[in-house]
Amino acid sequence: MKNRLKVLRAERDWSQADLAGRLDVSRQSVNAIETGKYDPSLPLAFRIARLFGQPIEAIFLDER
Amino acid sequence: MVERRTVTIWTYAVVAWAGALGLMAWPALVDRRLREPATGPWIVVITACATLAVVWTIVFVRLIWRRSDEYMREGSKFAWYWGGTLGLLASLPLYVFILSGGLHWLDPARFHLGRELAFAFRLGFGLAIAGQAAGFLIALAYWRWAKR
Repeated sequence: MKNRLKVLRAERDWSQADLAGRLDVSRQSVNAIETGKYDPSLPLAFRIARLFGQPIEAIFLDER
Repeated sequence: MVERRTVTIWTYAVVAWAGALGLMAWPALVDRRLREPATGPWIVVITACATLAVVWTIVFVRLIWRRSDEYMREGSKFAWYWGGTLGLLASLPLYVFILSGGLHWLDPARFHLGRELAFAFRLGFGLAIAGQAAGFLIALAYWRWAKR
């Protein structure tokens, strides 16, 4: 699943490690989500949405 | 730089392995005659040590699971499902090869598969498969019950 995580992170000048720390996940998780190789669970997607103050569908893009 | 979470998980894994191996090896270190078939109370001691090693491992496996994030857990589930299943399936032809005297065929001077040894080998392989199958069924039943 495509997402805007990298853009949102760059806008805040956060490193992957910064974002991982704020989400309480590993840096590898952030990298895998950003590159679209791993789709986060709903609870994690909600945490990401809350952190960036945006709805989930504004961050994760349905490709269908 | 390696993350603290990763360091913690690897530390747990090393402590789990070292502790379990230590507990398993302890009877043999105390009594070197255990290379021969053990008798009497020693069988109980050896079995108790193996049980303790399992409990020790479970404690650390649980700690590792709790410390892992969902990405790591998914990776672990994928690896255990596909790696575990394919590894088990790959061992079947080896099992048949050994049981039908394959090692004796390769090196007759070193390997002899008598009736007793063949029975022990069948039992060992069967125990591993039965344990894994039983664990799978119990975990699946628990999961369905918990998510009903």
